[in-house]
Amino acid sequence: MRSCRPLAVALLLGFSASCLDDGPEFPYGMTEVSYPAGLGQLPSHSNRDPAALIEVKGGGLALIDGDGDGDLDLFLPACGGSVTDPDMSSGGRYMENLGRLKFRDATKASGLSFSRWSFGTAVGDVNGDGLDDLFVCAHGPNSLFLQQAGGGFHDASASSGLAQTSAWSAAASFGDLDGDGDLDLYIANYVQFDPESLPKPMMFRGAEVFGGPLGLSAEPDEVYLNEGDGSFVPASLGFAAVKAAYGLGVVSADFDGDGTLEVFVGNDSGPNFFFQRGADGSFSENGLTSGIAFDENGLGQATMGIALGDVNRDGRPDVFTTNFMGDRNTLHLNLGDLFFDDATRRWGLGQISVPYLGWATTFLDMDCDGTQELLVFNGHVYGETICRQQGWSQRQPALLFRQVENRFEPIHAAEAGDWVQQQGIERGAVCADLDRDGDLDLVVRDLTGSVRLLRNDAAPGRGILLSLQQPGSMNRRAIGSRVALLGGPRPQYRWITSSGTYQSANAQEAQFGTGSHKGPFQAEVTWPDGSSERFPALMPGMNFVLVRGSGE
Amino acid sequence: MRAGLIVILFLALLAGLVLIVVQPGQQDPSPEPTDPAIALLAGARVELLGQPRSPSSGRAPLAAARKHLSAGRPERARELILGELEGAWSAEAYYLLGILESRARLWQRAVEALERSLVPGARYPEKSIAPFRLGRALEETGRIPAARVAYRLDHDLSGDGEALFRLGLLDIEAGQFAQAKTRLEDALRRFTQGPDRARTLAALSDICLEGDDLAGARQLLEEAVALRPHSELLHRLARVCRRMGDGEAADRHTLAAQGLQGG
Repeated sequence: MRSCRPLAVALLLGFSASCLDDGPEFPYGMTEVSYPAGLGQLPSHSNRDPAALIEVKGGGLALIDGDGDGDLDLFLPACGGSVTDPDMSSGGRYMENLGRLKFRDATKASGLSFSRWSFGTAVGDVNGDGLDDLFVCAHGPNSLFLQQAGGGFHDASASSGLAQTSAWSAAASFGDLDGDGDLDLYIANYVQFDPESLPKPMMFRGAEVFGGPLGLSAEPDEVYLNEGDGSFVPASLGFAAVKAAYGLGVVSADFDGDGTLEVFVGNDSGPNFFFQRGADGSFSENGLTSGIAFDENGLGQATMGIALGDVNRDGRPDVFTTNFMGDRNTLHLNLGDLFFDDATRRWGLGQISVPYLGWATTFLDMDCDGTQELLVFNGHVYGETICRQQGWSQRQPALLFRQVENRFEPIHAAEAGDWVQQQGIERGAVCADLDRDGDLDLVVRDLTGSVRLLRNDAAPGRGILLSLQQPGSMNRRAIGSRVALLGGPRPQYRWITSSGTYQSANAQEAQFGTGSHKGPFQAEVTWPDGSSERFPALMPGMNFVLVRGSGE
Repeated sequence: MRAGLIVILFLALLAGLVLIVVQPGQQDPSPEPTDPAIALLAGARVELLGQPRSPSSGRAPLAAARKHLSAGRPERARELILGELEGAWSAEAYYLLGILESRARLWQRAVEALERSLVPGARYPEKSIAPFRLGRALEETGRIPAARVAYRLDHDLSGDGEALFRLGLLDIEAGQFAQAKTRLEDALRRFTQGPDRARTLAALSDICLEGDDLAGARQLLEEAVALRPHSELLHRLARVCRRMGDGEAADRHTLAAQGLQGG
């Protein structure tokens, strides 16, 4: 379904009532279906002992409707190469979703062949033609692929103006930064790094490991404004005033509900950035005064993964970040007025994360009960040999938590099944309702080329899936919006972003669990410009497209 | 038949000990396999409570290793300890190795060494504090229920504030704020000055924040900073001041913290 009429609520698909059953064996169960789905193992160098920083920082994933058929296809940036044998990388892969959780490799036909080191992704319709486009962060010039009406992608990197530098770009985020209605771009850059001239090894807890990022020069981030036609020009807007840092992740969202975007940048081994837009349209970096630059002790963290969710149920996005082994992951509670408080320990998320090196993270309502769980994928950066010598584990299990009032509790295999304790060297992950049964499935990527598809078997018919549409807008999917589901025991909130988890582009949809409540529910959408609209009569077990201007 | 009964009785006794040391209401809510360290600590509890402090083995290499450890020469200490372990099993040597690994923050290796140091029957001067050392290493490797058991044993053995402080922090993580407050206040009575008192005050401020008692948190952190003007405490105080709308104080404390960090 390529385009939708501006109906008040367009019903796309009803989940089959016959699917209703007594629920899965495990309340948080996931079934790995990677190989039947056509995923599984991508080519990769087999060396489990990485020799350089660049070998361990990729890679992300992107969910994108790359053929206009209404379902979500997968793009995987090139990952798995080595500095001695970069050709062993899987190359970029485009996996077409054939439906029913079947994918096929359509890289060549899609025009998304991509062999360079690449990391983060962002998805957005940059030229307003109604088709999702793809931005890929690389070591070297970045790439913008425009989706073509007849199918496939066109490499518009040069013509778009987005391939101007040769920096190592780690992550990117589309959003309407200047408020003119189209999608601008923030690119978080990492370090100055030459794969042919590796930095000297360094010592970490008594072991000699590859060098970096400490000791290497940071790359300044880049900001581009959309000219309104998918071409971009570099912009300052105050962003350039900050000192360069080791950027690894970026998310833009309206953190204070004022109708303008803020930008959160997760920096490795230093203070995070938090950019706020002033009345004159320029941005200022207020990470320190916003309380989100550091952890509670004023220490910079690694900040690999970023997840947004409303854990204290006040309608504002809280920020959860994943960090290095020996440090805690961090929950930054959004207290309003653009101030964040590190509440990690009080919410039970601190000490339990210390042994793990965290990457992709996301909030998701796995069991569709109306409360989001929190998921973190882990895996070490240092090689198998070093890890074994030091008593660490390179392959690490995931961490899954459920929220119980104002804290999180770990969920173990007894309630989740084996998938949660499967060890991997995980990096990027995305979640979406890939089989359109109302719950969120997961795709997670391992550094060694493994791509796991985990099918969620939560009781069908207990979820509502909402996507947004702004007809005639250059921001068709309404990136930057907040979606609230009302009518249940308490409001639930989601934010539509173009990036997140770790270097990944998650689905630009809002999934809500409804539990045993039969509805009807209503959605309140706060559009990117701050205006609100209500959409009534939403029933569980269905997908809806909420079209701007057709609500109440 | 008789041997079988003895084994069954032994297992029943061990299970009983585990039940005793893992107090109700302090287990993780989601079932997970019982940590074998808990049984080990249960055995150590029986042995260590009421047992007088043991003398050193008198082994010269271990005495030298202790001196190197005290003098900040870990590699020399390691050589001596490993040399000793090549000759024979030595719980005392494993204890010293556990200290070395803990200092290097190689926590898994520390756990392995310290578990061996608690083997029943072995005697050496520091055995009564091995449970605390093991608790720290268990905590850093994510084995929280077992770490709690270790800290409780240490508290029963030593009665000092350190185990109470660690238990208080774990109580905060577990959402048991009333219990955390009791334990931390108990620890505070034992820590009359210096860094120990400062970090305990900071932990108590966390409980105030949970109850949105910003004034209480500020007061505790101000006392902590006065005792120990460390950047971490100053940052925490700055955050609370900012939440209270006192930007001037927040900026002042942030600047002071950055000055201490060299930033």
